[in-house]
Amino acid sequence: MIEKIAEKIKETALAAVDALLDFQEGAEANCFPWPARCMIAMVICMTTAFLAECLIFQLPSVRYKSAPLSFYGENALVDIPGTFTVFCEKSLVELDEEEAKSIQVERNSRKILENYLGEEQEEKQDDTLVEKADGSFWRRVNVITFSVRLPKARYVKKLDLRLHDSLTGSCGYSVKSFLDTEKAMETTYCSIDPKTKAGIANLGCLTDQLEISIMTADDIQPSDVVFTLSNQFAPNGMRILWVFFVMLTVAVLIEFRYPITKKLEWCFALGAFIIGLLLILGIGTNQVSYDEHVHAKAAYKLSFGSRIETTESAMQMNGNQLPMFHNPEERALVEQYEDENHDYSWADIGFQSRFVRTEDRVYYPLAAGFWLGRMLHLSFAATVALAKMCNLLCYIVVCFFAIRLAKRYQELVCMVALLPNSIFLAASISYDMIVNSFLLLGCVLLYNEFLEPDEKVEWYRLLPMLMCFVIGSLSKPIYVIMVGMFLFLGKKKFRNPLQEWVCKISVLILIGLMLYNIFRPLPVAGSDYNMVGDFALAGDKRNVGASVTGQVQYILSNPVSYAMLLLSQMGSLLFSYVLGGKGFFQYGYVGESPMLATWGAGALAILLAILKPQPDPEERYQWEKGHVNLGAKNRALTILMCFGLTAVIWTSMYVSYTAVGADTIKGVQGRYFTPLFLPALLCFLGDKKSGNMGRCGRNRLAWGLMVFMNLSMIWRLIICVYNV
Amino acid sequence: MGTHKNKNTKRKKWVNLIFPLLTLFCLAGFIGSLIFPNYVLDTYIVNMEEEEGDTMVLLPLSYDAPITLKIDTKGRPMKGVQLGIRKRGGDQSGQILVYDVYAGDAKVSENRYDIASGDDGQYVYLPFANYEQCTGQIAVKLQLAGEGKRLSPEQTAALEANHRKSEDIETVLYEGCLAEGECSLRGSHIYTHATYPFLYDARILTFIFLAVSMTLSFKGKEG
Repeated sequence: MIEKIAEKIKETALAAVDALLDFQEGAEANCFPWPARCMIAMVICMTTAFLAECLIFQLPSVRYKSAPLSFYGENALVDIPGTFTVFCEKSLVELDEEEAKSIQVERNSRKILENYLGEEQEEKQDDTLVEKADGSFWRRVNVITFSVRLPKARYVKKLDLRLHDSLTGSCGYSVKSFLDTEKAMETTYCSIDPKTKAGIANLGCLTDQLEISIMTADDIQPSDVVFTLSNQFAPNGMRILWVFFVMLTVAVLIEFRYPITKKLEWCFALGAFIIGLLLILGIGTNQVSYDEHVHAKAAYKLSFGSRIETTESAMQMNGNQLPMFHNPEERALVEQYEDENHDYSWADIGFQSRFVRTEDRVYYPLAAGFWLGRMLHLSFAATVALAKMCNLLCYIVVCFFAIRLAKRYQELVCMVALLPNSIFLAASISYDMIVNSFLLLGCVLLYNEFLEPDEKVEWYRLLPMLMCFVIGSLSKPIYVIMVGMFLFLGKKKFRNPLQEWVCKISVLILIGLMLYNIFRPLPVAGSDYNMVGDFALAGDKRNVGASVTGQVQYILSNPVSYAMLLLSQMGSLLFSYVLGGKGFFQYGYVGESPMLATWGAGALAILLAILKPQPDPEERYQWEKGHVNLGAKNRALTILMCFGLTAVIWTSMYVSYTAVGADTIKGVQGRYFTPLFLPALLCFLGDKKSGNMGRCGRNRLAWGLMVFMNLSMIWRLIICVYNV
Repeated sequence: MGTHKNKNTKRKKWVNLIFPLLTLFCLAGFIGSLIFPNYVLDTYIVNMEEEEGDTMVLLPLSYDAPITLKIDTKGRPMKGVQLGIRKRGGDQSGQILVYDVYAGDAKVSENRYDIASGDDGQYVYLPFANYEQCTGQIAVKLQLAGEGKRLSPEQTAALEANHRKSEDIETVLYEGCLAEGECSLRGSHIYTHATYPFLYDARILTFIFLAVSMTLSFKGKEG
């Protein structure tokens, strides 16, 4: 049987290769017009993807075909007498670091509120919580263990466990599987959300004995539990789509030479759309991005006028309370739950000012998606996906122009725009998309001026440049410092000294005003006016002991020790990314790429910057006429700007996020430095020839590497974790 | 060719005019926003929930003596208060709630509210006239007046309260008020502050347009 299937796969693969070669030959001979080539490529890719899914991933379902087996509970199919044993016990389980921290944060917030209001605040009673003398937190749980012996070995792809009783808190279960008394696989853990009351574990093993232990703080009975063992043939849409996109990327790299060489911005748009689409579809409503619920709340509110209608599902999204899924079966349950609770007839009604504050304007793309989803009466999951899609499209459009306008360094801009961190944020509910895209476009416009020192600054370049920096810095004003490089443009760039000075002073005041707003924000309309205006209360409440005034006083009284701390922390983060085994490329809280990927992309970007491509007479930008690099002075200034801004970012996190006087700086993440990548890379711009490699090879390398890196991360972190 | 040149000259003329004008317009917006701010209300919910074991109490208003609400506004002018008023089934037509505000010994604000106009149990906004003077340690004296029928203490309108204490706020009851222990009025304190909705945009755009204006080619000024 297996040999036959293997033979079939081999035949199909050979047929696909032949078809590709024929296609290549046909294309080279210009037999087909380009739309036909695209169509043929799409059909081949789709067929291959579907065949791969059916013949490779669904193989166990075909080989070990069996009907689902359900047992225990009301609808028990107890046709195997004497094979069950049930054992109940009570136990203590230590809370993980995150749960323990959230309890401490809640206590600290209560203390702050008590100090502010002068009133004692009640603590929520949790009888299952145990605090030990060493400060660790434990929870009392009931453990129900089912031991199931099957009459004969069967392949179990999924274990579907459902509870008929209501749960008040999350619980989980572990599964140990055995075959001939030997362990068939490592212990599998699965959580059960109280909202869906189900937990579906992926086993994927041949077994004749299972040991299922349910741990819960609730008092549930064994008869409330139903579990089903299944091995159904179920083609996975996400996997088919992924294989299809991989094939499509290969086709673009091999076949579509012209767009890769001449229209890199279009290739970027295609790559970013593919990656973003996979991320949006694969992640669904799981909230795995940085502070996603905070952004979701702001964007959701913005999608309304003055009257806000918040459905139960939206409220749970805003409070980071939506149930998570880990496979398509759980996803169906979660989405069903979300739709049941996404009913505007019993939505919570609130009101807000029609005037949109500056810092909320960065949510317009997301808000447009939420609004459109509501107008089209889409399901909750589809509405969230549409909001993310609007965010992604906005990112693609802005970066499209950044790549198009970049001169000799298009491939570098393309690499930065395709960074996994940036694409992930663009395909999430986050305003960082605005920061990354607009600052990238702003930097391109700014550094174009440095690369053309003899051309005057024109209004049609300066206006979009300044607007890009302002929009990019709306939510994180510190980045506006980057436009400070404008002050170092030469005299030749201006028409006369008066215009030069007035222009530069205006830009300087612009920077000053945006930074001033950090320290003296405009008053908000609402009851938190005093809280916002009171500097003594400023500081991120997610971290115990954070206080802006306290930390500023500490830094001012210990400047030398703080400088040492700052440098050591900056150095250690850099070391961890370069040699310490930490991957820079991250998909939020989902996971990161191996360090090798950071090295590969970093080395390629630097090489592409240093080496000059072969001149092409048809090139859109004749950069050979202008300067090929920034020059020593501008390089030094750029490095200084990058270093200074990095130090400011670290200091801002120390001041606002870290406990006063702490010997470490908390909360700094690699993504904060993404806007600095392009200026840093431009410092390497050189004029060394790159041998025979022309624009096409360079673009293929840059685009191909970034797209494949993203696709591999999607496979490992999104598809294997949430979609199988 | 000539037409193209003419078009360019015309476009340049317009651009040379538009950006300086936009700069002036934004500058006017900047100054205007500072001079004419928008005022909004700040609502601070005070003492709205009972502590565990406590129950809500009703403090009947009196025709003869006031219930006094003492508040330290910490230097901010207070715009008004929002208090829960129960009608308790009595005919409240013609019943007027007088709530004068005193700063020290001086009466700084005289106010009236027709109790019949509100719903039973409604948290009514009671604005202070001349609110700029209602700052620092103030006392709001609440009592009944008007030409309506005098009702028994069981039927007169009452204010919602509980036994929770808050810093900087004190409720002083008149002698004979039917309430056990120390009570505090439930409600919200309303302040006001200025917002400058267009200030941020106007000041940022002023300098953007000023910088952009400096890139235009004005005849005879080329260096």
